[in-house]
Parts: sequence; C-alpha cells; structure tokens
Amino acid sequence: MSLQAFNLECLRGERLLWRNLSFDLSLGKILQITGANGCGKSSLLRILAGFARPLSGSVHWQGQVIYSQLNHYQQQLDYLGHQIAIKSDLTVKENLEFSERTPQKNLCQSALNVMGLSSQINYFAYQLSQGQKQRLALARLLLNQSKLWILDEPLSGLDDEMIEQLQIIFSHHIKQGGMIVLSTHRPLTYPDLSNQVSHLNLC
Amino acid sequence: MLKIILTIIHRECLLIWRCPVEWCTPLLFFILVVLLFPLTVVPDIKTLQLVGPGILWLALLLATLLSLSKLFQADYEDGSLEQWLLRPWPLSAFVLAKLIAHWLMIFVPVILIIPLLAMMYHLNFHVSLILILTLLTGTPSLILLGSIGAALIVSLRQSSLLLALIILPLYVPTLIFATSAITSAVAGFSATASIIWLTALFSFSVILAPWVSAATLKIGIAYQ
Repeated sequence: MSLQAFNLECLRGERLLWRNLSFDLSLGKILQITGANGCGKSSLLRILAGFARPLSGSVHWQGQVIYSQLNHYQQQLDYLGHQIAIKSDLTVKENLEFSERTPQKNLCQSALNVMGLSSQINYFAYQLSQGQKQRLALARLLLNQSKLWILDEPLSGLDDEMIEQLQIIFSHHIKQGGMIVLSTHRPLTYPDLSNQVSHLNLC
Repeated sequence: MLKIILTIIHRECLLIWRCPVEWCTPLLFFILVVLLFPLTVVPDIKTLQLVGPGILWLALLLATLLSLSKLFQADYEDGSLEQWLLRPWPLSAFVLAKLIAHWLMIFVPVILIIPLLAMMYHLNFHVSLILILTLLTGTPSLILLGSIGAALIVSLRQSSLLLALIILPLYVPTLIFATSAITSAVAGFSATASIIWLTALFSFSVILAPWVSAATLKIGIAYQ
C-alpha cells in the first residue's frame, strides 16, 4: 500500500506554485512537507486528499489514480486542514460523536482522554481555547482508524506537552501500519520517528 | 443510511436551535411583513381576501431567501464540508438531511402560525386548510430548489443578492400553483389540480436538488 505523486503541477491564480513534484510514501512512513508561507503546502495537501486537482500530474493510491476511486480512497483517509470543522454551538462530546464514521462505544471517551480533554467533555466548543479546539480536531483522528492521515499544520496552537503527545500518537499510528503526510514549520523531534520521516521542501 | 440521515438531522436541528437568530429572523420577518401589509391597503374584507394569499406566499419567499443565504456557508468556512466528503455516504445524503432539518426548524413554525395570520386576511377555515396544504407541499420545493442557489454561491462573499437572482425564477412555478390553489378555494372552486402540481414539483425537486447541490458544493470545495 502506498501513496505516490507523479509530476504534479499546481497554479494558484496565475502563479505557478510548483511543478514536476513527485514522491512515493509507503506504509509506516511520514512525509513532512516544509516551506515558507504561500509556497503551496496546503494546496498540495488538498490535492492529496482529493479535494482539488493538480494542473497536471496524478496521485496514485495502491497503484491506481485516486480520481478513478475517489470515494473509496477518501474513506481511507483523515484530513485536518486549516479549518478544523469544529462547531462552536456543539459540545466537545457532540462534536466528536458526529464525526465518527461508524459509532463505537467508548471510543470518543478514550480519544478525549488521550488528547487531555476528558474534563471538558460537556463544554461547548466556544468555551475552549484555540489550542483545545485543535486537540479536539486531532481527537477525530483516533476515532476512525484511517490508514492515511493528511494534516495541515497539526502542531500549531499546541503546547510543548501536547506536541510531544501528538508525536507519540504519530509513532503509534505508523507502527500500526498507517502513513502520515503533514505540513509543519516545527521539526518532529520524537526519537522513534527519526528514521521514518522523509522531507519534502517546496521552496 | 436512514440512521445516518437521522443523526445528521439531529445535529443540524441542534445547531439551528442553539443559534436562535437563524430560525427567529426568517420567522419574525415573515410575521412582520404579513402583519404590516393590511395597514398599507384599504381594510376591506374582499380586498384582503383577494391579496392575502399572494402576500402570505411572497413574504414566505423573502423569508426563505433570508434563511437560505447562509445554508452551507458555515460548513464551507469551518471545513465541515471537506469532512463530509470523507464519509462513507454520499454528500447528497448530507445535503438532504440538512434540508430536512432546515425545513423542520424554519418552515414548520411558519406553518403552525399560519392559521392565526390567515384570520387577519379573513380567510375562512376551508381556505386556511388549503393554504396549509400549499405550504406543506410547496415549502419543501422552495428549500430544495433554493439549496442549489445556496450551493452555487457558497464560495462567494457578499452574495445574498446573487442568490435572489438565481433562485427567485426557480420559485415562479411554486408561487403560481400555490396562489392559484388558494385563489380557487377563495372563489369556491377545487384546488386539487394546483395541489397535485405542487406535489409533482416537490417530487421533482427532491430527486434532483440534493444531487445537484452536492455536485455544486464539490466544485466549490475544489476552488476553495
């Protein structure tokens, strides 16, 4: 099982973001995308998630172009973008429960425990800080057990302790046979990850 | 699938209920227009009976526009629509469930309050009953057809006027059949034919609109 990109080219308006971008990511690996603001990291992640299409080139999942099996492909991934899809007028628990693809008992509670939000379970999302909202969005990753995680700046707004915790979660995910594509300005420092991370600099 | 649709309806109803401005604004707007109009014309029973159905339905159309302008906006801006694409069920199911929730929270209160407002226009029990029938069969079409316009403008800012320009022409058949049903009832004729047409329009909309809206939303997401 692998995620491959071949000769991707992307325009924003009339500005060329990148061209001839290729990579191959296999199970148990992390692709860390870096680059300055505006260099097209989020655009690349949206293309990899199948939300947008590149100007040219293609993305393959398990050897097949993702657009020929888009629904099937998208069901196997979790995506966290800049907009984290948290509803302010729902409680923490409601936000998480409505995010489950297949509702399972106690999974929400354990996800909240891992993300350190168990004491805020009945809080409305508007009562949470930005960092806590980010943790709630990340808790969704633990619910659906998707193979592929595509994460846009997942470490932003998190304190050092939670960044460490999140890297442990990443390590656990790839040991379970998952794969992660993420954009971040901060290096991943957790020792278990050092041999599993490949880097892609867009600028 | 039914369980999923019910779950989404529950979620959407909660969201609308907890943001009173969403359901209060169209309802209060509708009530105000209907209450104020008789003050602007000669308070003659026959005149009110004649213009009443048209005013009630026109006020309803404008209230619908108010409620539709932000139908998908919040989901688009906070990333929820992208998350819906990753679910194992089609986006059109989400759209349909959202529209059902919207109808329950916005239009059902209107239908409940209509008998009181109909009294202001001296519409008798039989005509009020026909009016309610037109609302039950006509308002789902309004929201279904309106969702196409709301999906089209989802990625545009300051687009309320554009929404009106897109969807008001689509509302013309519903408006014609609804008002002709009530006018026929006021004149003592049968309103059955118009009600059947309204039901046919509803059937057509419910098959087509969720699918078209979902496809349009996907295009909006791609150009985000």
